[in-house]
Amino acid sequence: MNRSKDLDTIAPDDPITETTEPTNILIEEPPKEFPKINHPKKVKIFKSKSDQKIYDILGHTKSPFSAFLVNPKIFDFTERQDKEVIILAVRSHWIVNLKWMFITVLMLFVPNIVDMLDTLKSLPAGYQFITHLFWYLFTFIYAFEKFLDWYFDVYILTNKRLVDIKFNNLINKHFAEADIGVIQDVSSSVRGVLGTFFNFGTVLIQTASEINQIIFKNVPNPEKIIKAIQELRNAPNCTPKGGEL
Amino acid sequence: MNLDVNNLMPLFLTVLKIFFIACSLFYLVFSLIVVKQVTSMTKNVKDKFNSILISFSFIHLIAAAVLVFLIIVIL
Repeated sequence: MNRSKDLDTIAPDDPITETTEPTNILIEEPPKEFPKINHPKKVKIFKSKSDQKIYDILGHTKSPFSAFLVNPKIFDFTERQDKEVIILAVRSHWIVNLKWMFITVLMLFVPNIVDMLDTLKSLPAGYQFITHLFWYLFTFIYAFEKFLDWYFDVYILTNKRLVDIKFNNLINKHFAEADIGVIQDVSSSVRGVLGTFFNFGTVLIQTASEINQIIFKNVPNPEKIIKAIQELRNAPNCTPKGGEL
Repeated sequence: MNLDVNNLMPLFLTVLKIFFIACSLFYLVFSLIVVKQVTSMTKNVKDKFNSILISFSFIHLIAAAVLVFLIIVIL
């Protein structure tokens, strides 16, 4: 026997009359199929043998703070052409920053020394405070400017050319490039105890273009850079221009 | 002519205050240039820490503005 489900209005023994009127029953619609999104397939970059050899020579970058960035994923520069691949981005070795770091630390102690010597004692407290504040700001901008000088002084090796980007005194931008095909001669020099110990030096690249030479100053692993450039020069897609190789 | 050092002190402090205000205003302009240049540099060379550098330049600009304010208020 069918029983009503509405127990509040109908007694248990009442006969059940089936209504034919449509009731407001929420009918669950069959779930709509979401439009399929075509996720871009991961593009596999097939490196040629020569490319692979270059990456084998250069190795891998372990730290994002490294001055020697092999095949960097985030790094880019404005003048990069389409389909131009950055193989290596190099900055000067971090050890060259020690000089300004040391000076900065010394500068931080100057107000303490001045206080100890009572040099500003004759001035009111407000003037002393402002002088200290001024000094600390000056110290900060000195360190910041030196860091920017190092950070934005970049040498880039791409599959097509060598690029040297430099900013002098935050105002002047220097940009130099040379196609791999016009490179004539590459040499390097590692000098001094620090250079030998930390393996950094200068790479000199002679070219047959208007810019006679590009110099990578104080770069880490100069021998690896030279080998990579040589490998790029010998690559089958490299066309020599303006001189014998 | 008898010069008293105590009488010269207020004059010296006034000159010093003007000097501080002028320097801080120059510094404020300089910090604006730093912000502009850092922004320009980061546009040219893109790397991981660019946003941090831009923030530092803006913090420096704010500090320079605070310095101008403090010089006017305190001195």
